[in-house]
Amino acid sequence: MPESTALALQGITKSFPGVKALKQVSFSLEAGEIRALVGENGAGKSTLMKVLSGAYSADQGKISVFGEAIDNPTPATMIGKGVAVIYQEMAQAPHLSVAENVLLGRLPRRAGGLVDWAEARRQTAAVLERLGFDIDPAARIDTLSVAKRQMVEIARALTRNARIIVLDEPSAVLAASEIAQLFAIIRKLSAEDGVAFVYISHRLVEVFDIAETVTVMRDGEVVHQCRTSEIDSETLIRHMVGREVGDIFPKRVPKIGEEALRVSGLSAGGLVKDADLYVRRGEIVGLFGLAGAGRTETLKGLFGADRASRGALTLNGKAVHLVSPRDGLAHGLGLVPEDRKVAGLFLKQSVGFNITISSLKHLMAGPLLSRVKESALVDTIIRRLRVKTPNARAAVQNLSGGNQQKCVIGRLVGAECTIMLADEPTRGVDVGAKREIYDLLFELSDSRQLAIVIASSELPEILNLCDRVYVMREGRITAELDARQTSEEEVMRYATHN
Amino acid sequence: MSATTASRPTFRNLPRGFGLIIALVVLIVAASLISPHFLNPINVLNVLRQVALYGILGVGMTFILLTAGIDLSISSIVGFVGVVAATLMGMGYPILLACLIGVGGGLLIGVINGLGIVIGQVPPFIMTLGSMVMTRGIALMIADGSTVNLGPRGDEFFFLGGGFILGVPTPIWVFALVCVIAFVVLRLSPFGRAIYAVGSSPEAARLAGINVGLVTFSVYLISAGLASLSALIFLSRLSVGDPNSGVGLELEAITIAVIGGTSLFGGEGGIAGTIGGAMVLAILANILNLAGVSPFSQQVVKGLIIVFAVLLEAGRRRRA
Repeated sequence: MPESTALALQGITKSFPGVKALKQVSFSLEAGEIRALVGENGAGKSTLMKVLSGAYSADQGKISVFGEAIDNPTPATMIGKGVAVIYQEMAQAPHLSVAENVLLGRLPRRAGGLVDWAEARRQTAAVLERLGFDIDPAARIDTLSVAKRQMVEIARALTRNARIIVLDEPSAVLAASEIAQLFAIIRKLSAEDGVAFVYISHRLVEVFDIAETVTVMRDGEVVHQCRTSEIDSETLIRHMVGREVGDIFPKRVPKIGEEALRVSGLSAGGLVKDADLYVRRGEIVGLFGLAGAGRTETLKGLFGADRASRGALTLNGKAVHLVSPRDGLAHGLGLVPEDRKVAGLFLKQSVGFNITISSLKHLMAGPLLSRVKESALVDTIIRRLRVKTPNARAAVQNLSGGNQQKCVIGRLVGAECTIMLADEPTRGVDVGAKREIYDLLFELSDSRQLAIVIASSELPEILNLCDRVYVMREGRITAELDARQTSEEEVMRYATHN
Repeated sequence: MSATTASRPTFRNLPRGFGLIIALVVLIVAASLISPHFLNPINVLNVLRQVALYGILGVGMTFILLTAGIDLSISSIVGFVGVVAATLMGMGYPILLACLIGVGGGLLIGVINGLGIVIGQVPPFIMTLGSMVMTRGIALMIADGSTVNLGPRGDEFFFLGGGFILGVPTPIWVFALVCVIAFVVLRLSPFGRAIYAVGSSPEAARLAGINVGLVTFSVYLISAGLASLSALIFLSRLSVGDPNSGVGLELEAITIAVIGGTSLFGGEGGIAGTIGGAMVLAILANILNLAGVSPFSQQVVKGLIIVFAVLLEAGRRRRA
């Protein structure tokens, strides 16, 4: 091969409104190299991946593939240049056959333009066999296991002559034996065909197993690159989490009161099993875990948003059984959902609408809503939570992420919640707004004696905001730690396998 | 600017209906230029009666569209309720009782729609398409395929569709009452807020403590109720129960709501726009009639208007 550098990124920068997602990211990949890309959630891995696939265009920086600079990358050009990105959420047509998915958009034709099905199956069978996959080309995608679907994706990438394959947390959905099989294929393609891989994973054991080199990202920047033989997992974790926390996090002395919520034997979302936890008034409790650990499911189960959840729940000393979010709200629980734009906000509606929607029954004058009471509440919330908006009638979608989140929190304050369950409350907001949200949570905890549970995948956030931390792994609570005593490394150990 | 002070109106936060008002003014001016008869009081009342007849259905459809649903069955409900009430009146039932039973039948279709959509999780388009076909079939069965005479009570009943109160046709009063109630419900009741919330994001609505199923069920009941009401007005005007009456009215109602600025994707729109939409459509039909355009060509024009109104909305979304 004339050019041995398969992929070179130089100074890639990408901003979203209010957030700089990638800052001057550079790395390169040799043909046949297997490079791991690691970092916490929000470090910029997925943004980088979307830049690589052509889904996002970088604001600055250069991408070259086999020495050829790509000026205006689109998904089509990147595929054409041999770059295949395989997402965790695979983009497949579930009702079509394996052959149709592998050859999607490039099905062989017979004279007259009709699809040559025999040829399609033959081509698919050939590539599957080359990979050593035992999959029937005629099987429907939705009858296959997730592992096999991933294999179909790899087969598809190869029929498109992919020279560079990016895998996004492929092992998150695989069993151990399937991971071994996947690794065997990666090694084979890398050794025999010179295919280069970018392997994104949270699981450090795998990183050391499969990758020759590793790139660590944090806060949108590449903070460390080396060969995996030159580093141990403790050091790697330190690079992943060890940011200058500085003064992003306010300090406080919690005034802890009586127990507000206790659950024992919680099972929820088909994932969480046998979770026991409690939170007291004025206390902030963290729920840490990597993707798929069951944080969101736990909060939804507590809130009554998951009908199938089971467990003995006690709120303010009384045993309750919640059957709906409406029920949860009536008992003083409030949820700040993980997906702000879909589950948290009514984007088409005004700031005022979003703030009052859960407390309308307090705003009545006779059978109708009182405009006076309503605007009084909205104004109070906007002022107290320092929501930056031109006025209460402004569309909430025009607010920044941080101010949108304040509207969601403000809704719960207006509804007089005593227990707040916040799922990734600072996701997608910039550093300044994070600080404002932290201040706000502290203030609510101190002045209103609110009991707060924060689920987060950002370790510094968990350790600096919370008084106590529960660590989750694969649906179970694996540790309860004093946030002041523990370390990021210790939490990470309970959250991962080692 | 401080968050608490009221904002000054700027061009950007003009109400959405501004374009509609301009369209109405242009249409009225154009109509009076095209035909001297347009501003004749009799013609004006005629147009307004038309606005009322279709507007009531438009109001029902507005409730549905605000939740991001659709109700195709209203046209068949118009035929069905008319035939039921006509049959009962023909049999000598008192007018009020016949009407109530008819409306009850219409509401029953709404209940079926609501249950299918909420409990059965059938997509609204499919559910109401099914009940549209089914309900029309029932109407035809009841009437045995022909029209039903109202009998001696028809003259008295004519008041609802053809009568006047203080010189204004009765249907206009009915429409005005419907609009006022609908406006208040949507703007000033928790139920109205819940409708917008469900249409904006069902998941966010659920997590905000709204009973999404109940709200969804209710709008199909409202839509069926208003369709039943307009069925009685149609019946009264026609003085004969026609199992085929109302065909195509669901499209009329959707057009009215969409021209009025109600989004097909839920969460945006309101009654004021729907009134405007009904007026645009009625004036347009009137102009075409006065100008002697054939009913066939009128359909082409109406179809184009639907597409144009939705195109405008799509364009607005892209800019947003």
